[in-house]
Amino acid sequence: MARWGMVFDLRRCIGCNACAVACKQENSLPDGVFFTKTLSEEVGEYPDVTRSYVPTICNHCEDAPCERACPTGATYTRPDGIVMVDRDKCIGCGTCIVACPYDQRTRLEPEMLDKGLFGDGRLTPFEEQGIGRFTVGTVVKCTFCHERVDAGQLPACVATCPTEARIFGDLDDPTSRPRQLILERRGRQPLPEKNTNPRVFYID
Amino acid sequence: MIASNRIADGSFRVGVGLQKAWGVQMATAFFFGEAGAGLYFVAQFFDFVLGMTVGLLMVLFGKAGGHVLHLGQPLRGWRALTKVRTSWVSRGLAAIVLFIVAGALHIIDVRAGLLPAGVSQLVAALALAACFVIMIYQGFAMSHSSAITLWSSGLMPVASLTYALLNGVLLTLVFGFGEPFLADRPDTVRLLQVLAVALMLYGLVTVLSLLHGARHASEAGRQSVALLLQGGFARWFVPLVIGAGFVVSALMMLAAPPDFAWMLAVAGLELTGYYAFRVLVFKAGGYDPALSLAYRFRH
Amino acid sequence: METLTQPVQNSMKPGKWLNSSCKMCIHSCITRVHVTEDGVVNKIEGNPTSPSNNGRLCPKGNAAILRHYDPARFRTPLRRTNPEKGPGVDPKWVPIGWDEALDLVGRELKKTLDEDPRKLLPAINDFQKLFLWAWPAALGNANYLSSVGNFCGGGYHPMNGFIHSAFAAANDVNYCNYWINNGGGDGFSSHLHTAAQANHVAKARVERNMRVVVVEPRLSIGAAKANEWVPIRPATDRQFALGLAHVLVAEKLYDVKFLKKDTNAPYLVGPDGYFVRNGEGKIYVWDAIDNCARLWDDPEIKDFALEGTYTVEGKPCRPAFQKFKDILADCSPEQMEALTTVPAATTRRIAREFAKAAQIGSYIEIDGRMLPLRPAAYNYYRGAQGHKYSAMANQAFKLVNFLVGAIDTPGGHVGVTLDDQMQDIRGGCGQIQAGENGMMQTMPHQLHPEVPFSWPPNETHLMGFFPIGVDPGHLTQHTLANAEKFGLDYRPDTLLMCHSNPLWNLPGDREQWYALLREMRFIVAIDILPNESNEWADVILPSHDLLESWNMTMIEPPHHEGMCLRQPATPPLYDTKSEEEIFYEISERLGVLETWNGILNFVNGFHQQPDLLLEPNRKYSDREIAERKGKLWNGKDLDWYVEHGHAVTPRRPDKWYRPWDGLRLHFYIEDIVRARDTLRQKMEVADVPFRREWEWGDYQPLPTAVPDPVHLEPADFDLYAITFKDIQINFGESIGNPWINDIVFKDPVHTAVLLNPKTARERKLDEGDIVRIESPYGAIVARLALSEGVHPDAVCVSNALSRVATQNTGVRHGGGNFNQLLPANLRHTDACSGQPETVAKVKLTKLASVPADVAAGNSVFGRTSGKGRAH
Repeated sequence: MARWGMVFDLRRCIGCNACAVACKQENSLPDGVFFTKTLSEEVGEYPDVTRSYVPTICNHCEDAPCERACPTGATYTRPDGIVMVDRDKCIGCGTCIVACPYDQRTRLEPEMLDKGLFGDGRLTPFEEQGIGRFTVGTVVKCTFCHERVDAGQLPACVATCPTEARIFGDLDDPTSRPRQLILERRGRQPLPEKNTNPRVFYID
Repeated sequence: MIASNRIADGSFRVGVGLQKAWGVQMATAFFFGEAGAGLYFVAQFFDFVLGMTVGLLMVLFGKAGGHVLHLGQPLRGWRALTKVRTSWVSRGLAAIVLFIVAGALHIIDVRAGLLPAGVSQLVAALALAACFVIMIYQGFAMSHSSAITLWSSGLMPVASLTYALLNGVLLTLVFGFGEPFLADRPDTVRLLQVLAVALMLYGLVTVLSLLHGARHASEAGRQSVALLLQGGFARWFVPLVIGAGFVVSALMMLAAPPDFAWMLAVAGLELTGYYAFRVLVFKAGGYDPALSLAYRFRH
Repeated sequence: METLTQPVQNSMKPGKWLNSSCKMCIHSCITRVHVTEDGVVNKIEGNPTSPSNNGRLCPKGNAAILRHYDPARFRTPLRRTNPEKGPGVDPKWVPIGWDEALDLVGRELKKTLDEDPRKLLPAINDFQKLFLWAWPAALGNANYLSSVGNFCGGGYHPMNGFIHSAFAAANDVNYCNYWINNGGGDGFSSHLHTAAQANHVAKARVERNMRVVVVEPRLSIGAAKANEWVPIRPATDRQFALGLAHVLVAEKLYDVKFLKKDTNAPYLVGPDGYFVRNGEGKIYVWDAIDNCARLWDDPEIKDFALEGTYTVEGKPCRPAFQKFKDILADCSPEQMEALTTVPAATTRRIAREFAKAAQIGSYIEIDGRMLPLRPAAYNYYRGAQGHKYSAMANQAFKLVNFLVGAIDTPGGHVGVTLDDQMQDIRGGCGQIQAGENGMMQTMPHQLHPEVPFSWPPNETHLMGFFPIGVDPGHLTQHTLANAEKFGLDYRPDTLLMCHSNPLWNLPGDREQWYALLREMRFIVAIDILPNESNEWADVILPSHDLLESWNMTMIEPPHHEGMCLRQPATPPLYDTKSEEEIFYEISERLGVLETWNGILNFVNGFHQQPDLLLEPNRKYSDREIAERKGKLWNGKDLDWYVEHGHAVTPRRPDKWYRPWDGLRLHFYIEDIVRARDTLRQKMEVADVPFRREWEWGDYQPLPTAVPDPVHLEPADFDLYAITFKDIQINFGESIGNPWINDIVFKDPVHTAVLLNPKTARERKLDEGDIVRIESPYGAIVARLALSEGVHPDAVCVSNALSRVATQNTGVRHGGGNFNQLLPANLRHTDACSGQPETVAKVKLTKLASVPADVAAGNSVFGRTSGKGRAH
């Protein structure tokens, strides 16, 4: 069984957020919801200054605090390591949201679903065909595009990334690209001090 | 400034993100949990039925009700009982259920003497134990969250217990004022007053230690504490939580004559401070940036 | 466990994939579109078979679905019922049928044409159906009310035509190891096939350690990713390039062999600026060994002199290279630093690094051909070249590449064609032609043939006065405001817009543009969504969007060539038509159908293959035109394209590298001098009254370091305002698309105007302050954000803050349009290229609050972004 993971190449990322938009269209995300986003950070002082771009996503942690904190078992880890939320079990208490060190979870509020992407209270055919996967009041997050992955495809954000800054694959496979990159370029996990053992690594 | 403002506030900047999942509704539920359980806890020692009843009702309606209002899917709330093994929220809910049942039985038992002696003691012990869990689990639920530095301190359960006991003592002094168990025994009143002052001092140190620890634990902790002590929340946190909740109320309690108005005033001040603590500690809770390069460079 | 049995992810749902291509910017990344069984478009991805975008899409391409389903789309033809016109004034549209709309447009245009065809101002801006641009030619009209020159490169395109005989240019990512990016976003944030370029450049950066040096006033995406950001004062890029050239020449870090053999650098230039010719018109060079003048193609020549002063045919003369060297004497990095603020040591170091990386003298064998390998190149675009002396700026950047021999060579700076099929006038592949005296024929006109000089001028933007320039659409404001001076014997009263938003893209005073639009008797707009300009229209003709129409093109692909299919993913959602159909219907009503088909045959290249020729009196659909364009490329019919999606391959090395082999390139552009003198003579003959005020100094065969006039504005305008776009808002309208809004208005560089903190402190300004940004020509309002990534002299205004489209409620208003800070006059327009100045000198004044009219409605000053409510 594969254990899926992702590597973010900070040298490649240009902060365009094509990933965020690809995710929105793949997953019909309601207004205000992101499963992934790329942040920017200005560092230094003029003229010795630069800006880094930092992609963020659910890290599908090996030791997922969200799963531990969830009082209903709605959050669970698939055998391939993908952390999922069962919308039929989630009660929307938000405990997982405050348990996730990476701020990657969102509770669906009624206005997110009701007002529509264009904010006029009417849903486009695109939204209508996609909105059914969401239950108001429950918590949602990135699923590593589990259905695409099950079908042998890459997550939408990975597939669209113009600079190939997102590298997805099996972390258990010593020959996989992410695994090699983690070794070659000394990948590091976000906030290792939180002891979550993320399956997402950053290289720069 | 783009570089120096470290609170990202929903923008796509690397920085500290303030948590928005738990807000006033949750704070209110927490408030009633630790006020109600505290009152019940202290009242049970005196077999003070009114106190126990009010405490139980506060937990039932304020705490449990507040949580139900907060839930995104309240009708499925029962599901929260299913993960007692790992989840503090689950444990807390179990304690609430046990407490409501055992506490109610115990109150009826105290008034009517229904239960046989052994069972009566067991129920009383169960109620007290469940009550105690409610007094501390909120702290554990928060400190369990390594995500939010301000909350993840080991002192958080201590703060919960301190506040709960303090709330219990003060509410007992208010609701029990004129009741025989106090009216007839001024030394008990004095004892409770001293206990309250001691808890206020203890609480003050606990809260300050919480902030001190958070400030030096991570960037998010530093930003959270800055928000509470210097930033946007300081105008509430300093006068209410520190001032009214501990300093002023302790001084007043030291000087207090055995007078209902004084007890009421001190309890009011303290509970205001406590409520502010609950709300503001939620609001100031922040996530650390997943990856920041800023500290590799001179700031 | 999930209880759903149906897939929840859009691309996994039952449905079909269709091959198509993107049109969210002017370029054409190759896509595949997923349509559900119910006929709903629910996912667009890059097509993995594309060697260009490699299955990738930028954020705009990813957001196309929401343009398709945008409720603000024009759904039927509309007629205005509100006679009052103005910015933000509700036109009070009423729906009408197509017949009524087309008859109305036909009748009104006929009336205009009957009076005077010149009274029509066309603004046709669809870059993926370039043939539409030629439609006014069917009416004998060459007016143009838009500012392509301001948007991209007024000086850029003609210069590419002079140097590469191509429309655009790019650094060759296949081999480049040292990439200077000056005022352009190629490979990072904007310009040519953004997703594709970002893909290839990232690979070069990371896998090959290509070094990137970005020269810009603002820490752009490219600068952020670069090995080195060189902050520069706005509008001094040319001086920076000349500083580099100074070092390359002074330290003899140039490619002597290339200059002598492949360019006109050894040709002798006389005192009049022309090459010295013999009686038969053949040009002299100096033989450095035999120390005598010889004709350029004399087989006896032992060595071409690049330097020295000689006398030939009685004229004192110097090799073109020596002329440039003379100019560079006053361009030392130290002298340039006073203008650019770039430390001289930095310029010197970069020049040396650049020359070293260029590996002068090295060769590489590609497809059996030995080619000079020059893996160092200087690329640039709008920000660097968008200045008054644009032609000079463009040439200065090119000359840096010339000096190290990095023109059209592996790893160097290479010409990019606009559309490889348009052989005769569009700089297509087969475009290289031999010119006189061994030189390549220059092709400054990459968009349309030269518009003949006329007096009184037929064109309100004086196109006939720009024989080697790109349409200076902004000048219409200047000429109509001074109609008598410019001899205009007519006033335009009709405007036809097609996917164009001149009120957004034109520089100049807004009130004057509004006054001009109020004068219009009739305005028709062909468009998809309401914008700043089409809210003035009398009739809207709604067109299909990119998911409803056919097309075949490959616009300006740097490293690839071929054709991309666009096909309908759904039937039209509304009562819309293709642009082809609309123009055919109008043409028929105006009686120019035959002419239009003739023009279409020409501009699409169908005349090259007689079986593709359009019949004179037929109307063709978008599908039929697309099919012909596909066939012209590779002989395949539309079914083949539907199956394969595209016929895109890497550019053939023989066309990509040195397609001009055997000809000499124009190091020295004598044609500019000739164009100047020819124009001057025509103006003398016609006795044009303003001929002495004409900016004759703008025509230079070699660039000099003279500062652009923007630096001479009154001293109290003490800062330089620039505008910028990033990848989310690259090229055309994006703001208003909810997904684009979602990422743009959360990005700190797009939500406020950027200023250096030190500059702010000196002016007692702070983060969040509301300021009035005032130039000598106009003012806008903005909120300040302080950023260390800004040159201390610069005020950086994101284009996301320059929208004011009231009828489209998704578009959030900024504090006015940046372009109103810019002048629309001759003084700040390059007479040589038509490029207007794009930098404004400004002063900042702190305001107590946001003015009510600016804060009103859906303004960027109102809402703040945030995530969910707390509970």
